[in-house]
Amino acid sequence: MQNDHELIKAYQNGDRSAYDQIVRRYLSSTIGFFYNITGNKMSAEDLAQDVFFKLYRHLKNFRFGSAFSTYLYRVNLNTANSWLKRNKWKNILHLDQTPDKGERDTELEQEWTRKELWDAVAKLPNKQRIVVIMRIAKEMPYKEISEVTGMTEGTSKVNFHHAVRTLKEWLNND
Amino acid sequence: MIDFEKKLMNSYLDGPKETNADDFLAKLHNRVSESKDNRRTVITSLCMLIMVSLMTITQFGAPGIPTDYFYDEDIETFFETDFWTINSDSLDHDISYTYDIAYFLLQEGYIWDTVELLDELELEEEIAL
Repeated sequence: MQNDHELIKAYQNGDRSAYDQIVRRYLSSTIGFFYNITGNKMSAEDLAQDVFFKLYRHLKNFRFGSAFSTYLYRVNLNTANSWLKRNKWKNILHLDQTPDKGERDTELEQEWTRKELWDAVAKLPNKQRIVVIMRIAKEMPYKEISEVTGMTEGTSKVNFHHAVRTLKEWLNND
Repeated sequence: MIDFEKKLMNSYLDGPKETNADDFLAKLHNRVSESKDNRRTVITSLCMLIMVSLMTITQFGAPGIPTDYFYDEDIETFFETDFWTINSDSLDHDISYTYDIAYFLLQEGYIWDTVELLDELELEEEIAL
């Protein structure tokens, strides 16, 4: 079985099936990541489509400087970040005619819905938001977060701590 | 604070299990080919636009020296149409022709010229009598 870098090299040499293999390999983890944020399978698949479409265009310039999984996390993170910001503006401008409160999650003890949580995350400052996305939607350890984002482990922890404090304040006040 | 953090971390969901990779790939390939078609259309349109702009700027196909078309060596033909070559008396023309001229002058707004013309004709008729 070929590793990621071998598949990317094959794709760069014009082998389209190598790209399909990469997609198959990372499809469920990518959809899972977005499913955690959107709480909706269709939206998660749409965002995953965006990610793999970006990869199709940019993988030709991949320079093998890091692991492909790190590169993919970064693309996932940017896509999720854009989606959250887009949604934040939609909420501010009330573009959704029928506001969808999302399904109430029994695992969240009926305190807030997934939508409320991610709407609140969208309002966080950029660095805090990135760390929260990676921690909650990917259950990523701080070490990996620092690799993906370029922050130090300490900075990631501090940002997460601030983010949790702010989220607690916002969600418990609602 | 720690409880809240735990709750946040517990909000993690396992992804949907039944994702059809073949369907997903088919949609993805469709999107890729659509994007390629769109790019081709944009490039073709831009090329057309550049060509049309170039042809407009350089006046491709327009005559080099326009005066060639208006130059005529035989200039007499132009001068012969001037009034000084008309060698006839206005009284030789019939009355309807005079009225036509008067009517024309009126239409053009030369009211006093028309009056003058008619007076002149009347005077000339009186002299002739």
